[in-house]
Amino acid sequence: MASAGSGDEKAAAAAMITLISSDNEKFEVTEATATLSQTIRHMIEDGCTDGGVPLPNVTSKILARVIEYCKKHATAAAGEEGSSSSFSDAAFLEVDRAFLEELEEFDDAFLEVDRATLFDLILAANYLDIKGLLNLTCQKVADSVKGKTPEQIREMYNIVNDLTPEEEAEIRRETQWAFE
Amino acid sequence: MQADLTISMEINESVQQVPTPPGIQDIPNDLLELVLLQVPTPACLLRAAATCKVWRRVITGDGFLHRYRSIHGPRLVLGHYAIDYDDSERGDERVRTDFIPSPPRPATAATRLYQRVSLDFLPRAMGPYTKLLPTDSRGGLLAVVNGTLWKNLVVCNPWTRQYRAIHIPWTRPVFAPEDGYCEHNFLGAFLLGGGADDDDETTISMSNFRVVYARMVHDDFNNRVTTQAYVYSARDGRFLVLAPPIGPGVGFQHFGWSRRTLEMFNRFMGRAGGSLFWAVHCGQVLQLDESTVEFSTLALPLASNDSTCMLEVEANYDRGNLRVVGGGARGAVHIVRIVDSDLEVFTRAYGDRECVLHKRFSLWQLSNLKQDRPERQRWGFWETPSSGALRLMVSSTSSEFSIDVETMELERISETTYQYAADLLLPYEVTWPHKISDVL
Repeated sequence: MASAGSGDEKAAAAAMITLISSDNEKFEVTEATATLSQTIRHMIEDGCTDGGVPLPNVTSKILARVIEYCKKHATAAAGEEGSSSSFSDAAFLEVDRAFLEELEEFDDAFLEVDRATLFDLILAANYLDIKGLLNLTCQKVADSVKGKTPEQIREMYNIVNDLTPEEEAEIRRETQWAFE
Repeated sequence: MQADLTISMEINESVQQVPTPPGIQDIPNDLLELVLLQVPTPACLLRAAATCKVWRRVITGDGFLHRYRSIHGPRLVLGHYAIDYDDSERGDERVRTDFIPSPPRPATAATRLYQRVSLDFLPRAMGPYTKLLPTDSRGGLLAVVNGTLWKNLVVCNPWTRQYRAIHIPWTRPVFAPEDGYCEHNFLGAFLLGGGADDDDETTISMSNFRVVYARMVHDDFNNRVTTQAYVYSARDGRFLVLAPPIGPGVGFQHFGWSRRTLEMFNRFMGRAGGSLFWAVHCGQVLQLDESTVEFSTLALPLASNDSTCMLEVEANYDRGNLRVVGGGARGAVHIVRIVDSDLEVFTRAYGDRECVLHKRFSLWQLSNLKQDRPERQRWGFWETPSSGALRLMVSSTSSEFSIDVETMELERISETTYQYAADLLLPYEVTWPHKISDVL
């Protein structure tokens, strides 16, 4: 669908950007993929991407995952743009729904990572300013506390309980219903 | 969801050996806030707030609650008071108040919660428990009256067990003779917003609430009826006279008057677009504007089976077949009425005194139900708590449906999602956690 555009758009879509991870690994990605990151988009706009974009806060392992996410979602974004000319409304809605379902499945599978990777992804999504990925990963962590007691949450995330016994008792008394 | 969690936990255990993997402690506070804003329910959020100092600071921080509510809806509902009342003519009016936690909890937890929010702390002078009628809730406060003695009004916070008893003043209607006997009819007691910031319901408290008390007064001598409304302000510690306590035109005689308190309360049609509505007489709807505290009446077109009540005062409508909906951000207030098996939707432009029939539907057709024994199947409105929100339902004796008045779509409620129905359901909102420094 992305290739259905005019010659200029084709050229823009084909433009490649080099991303350099903290451990000096280089990743070649299309501009369409890279610009899902607002941070990189601004760098491209400022014309400072020649010779590659160094990302000192992101390891190659995490950057590979981030690029995987961006590739998939960049295709989705291109599909939306190409829709008006390529499809009748009804046909497009059908394609759109199927594609959204596929995207949802992709997101679910994408989140099947260990917790350390999940936090790395949150930090990377924030640094690179990729809203969709940031929401997705934050939601995953938020969902994980569902139905858990404070003790279980602490255990799950290795959190040290720094509340004094008095504070804890007071908190529980205040909002006892939430603990039953 | 549960499956996802299990898988990710297993993977996590297998990689625990990796030296100093990033953990939640490496997440800066602004990102932690993004995470906590997505926590699905208030109960989960409050437990998260008891995890450690950092989490609690984020959750109780400036603006967090506001942002959480903008994502998850304006109300953080702990459950619903479900009130059933028997207004049988035997004169033995009884109120039964239950508490339905949302989401549903195991029986023992539900019982403990119920004990925590029960109204048994109210003073004995309010009367026996089976007479206490909660009439409204807002931001964790409850307005309660004695279902038989109109003058006992209490506003309370069941969680902290604080209450304030309010003595309702008496103003003789201008048309009533000095020595004549006047009968009172309770219309309801309703909590208004807590002062300037009306929309933010968390700001209402025992020290700043305002409650409007509405009644009809019937003068036996002249056989005339009028309405009265009083607003009590907790901040001022007195009644505010916001509008003259006189009804919409003096002396409309056939106003649909009853000696039975609960029967009158049963004519409360609901709250919409900043007003309270009652079905007072066939074809007449009484409206009380919550901001000006002024009464007005609205005329509903007569229904096909209404003709007999032109001769005698008989109320055909109550909460069971006449309700008001809408009036939120989406605009128009709709009055919905069930006449036999037809559902009628009335619309009224702002300021108009008359309602216009907007749509009429056969409930049998909408529901795709077979009308096998029409004499035994009656349609009526109910309320049910569902995903923390009230849903208006229509039901025949065998099936329940939630209804969207905008689209006129009926959705069948299966037995698993259908939790509870009562004469009146009042949402009860959570007490928000304070900063640790406020608590200690």
